[in-house]
Amino acid sequence: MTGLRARVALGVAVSMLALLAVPAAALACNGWTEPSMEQQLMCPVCHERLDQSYSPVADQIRSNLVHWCTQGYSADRVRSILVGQFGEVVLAAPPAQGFDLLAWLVPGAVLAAGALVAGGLVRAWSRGHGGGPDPPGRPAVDPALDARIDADLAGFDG
Amino acid sequence: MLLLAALVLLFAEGLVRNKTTVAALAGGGQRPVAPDFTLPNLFGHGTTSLASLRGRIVLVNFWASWCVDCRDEAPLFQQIESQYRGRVAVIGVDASDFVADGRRFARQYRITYPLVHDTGSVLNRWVGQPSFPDTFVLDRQGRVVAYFDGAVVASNLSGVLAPLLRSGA
Repeated sequence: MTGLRARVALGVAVSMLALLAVPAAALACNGWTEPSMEQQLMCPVCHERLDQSYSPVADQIRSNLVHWCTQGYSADRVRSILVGQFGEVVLAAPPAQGFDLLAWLVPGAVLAAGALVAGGLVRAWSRGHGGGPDPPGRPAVDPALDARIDADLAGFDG
Repeated sequence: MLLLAALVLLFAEGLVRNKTTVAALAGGGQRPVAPDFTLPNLFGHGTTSLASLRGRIVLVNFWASWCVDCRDEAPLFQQIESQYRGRVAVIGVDASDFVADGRRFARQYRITYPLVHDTGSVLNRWVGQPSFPDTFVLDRQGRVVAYFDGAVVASNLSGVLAPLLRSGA
């Protein structure tokens, strides 16, 4: 019975160690993980993200990532090697330099322009509702009725 | 606004470029003059340019080591290179591939014709969206006379080469 308990305890301990080892293996690369790197890369032939591509060249890149991970290559070195072999088309995000800088600047510029336009519209709208003349078509208040309402309200106050 | 205009122009340029690749023009029945390229040799030691092969019938073959059909084609191109030496030149452009894998492939299939490595710029201009392999036949003046989208079959290729070899054009 004691032997059985010991075996169960050993089994649980091994399972827990295995669970701990999984994230450790993912972080075994030099500051990067294979899944995260695959998300930063594109298949140069099918133009899908590498983690979603099953093309032969994607498999080839993946097997190289495994090799470079075990060799302790840095993320920059991995990206640099891939760009040297396949060109910048292999990068999911364009480099933030030269003409490709536009890809980083344009979304921000569009958002800023949108915010300016929205702000201008809100200001114009609030001015339109800020005590200006009544819009046409609305009947003017009869002065006699106005005086009666004032008198009635004064009665409530008193 | 300027940035937006630049983006629209870039998009339009991309569309135009896709329709003006050598493959698109040749597929549309035209005989465009093949744009020149100079690429590093797959095994190092300098570069090879397409212009250096002018005056001969040229087969420009885009291939990659992971491409299954390319394995069937390699012996065919090697045979043509040997059979028509001096009259027909073959140049293999290893693209979308690791140099080391390309070299291994070349050794395995004992390829002796010129092999160069492309990081995508030439492939993009010639083919756009590649199907691998992609092969072009150029006449002696450097005009594209045939384009094979996918594996080349010997009988189809000889059908294109025979009149060129006979005519001397």
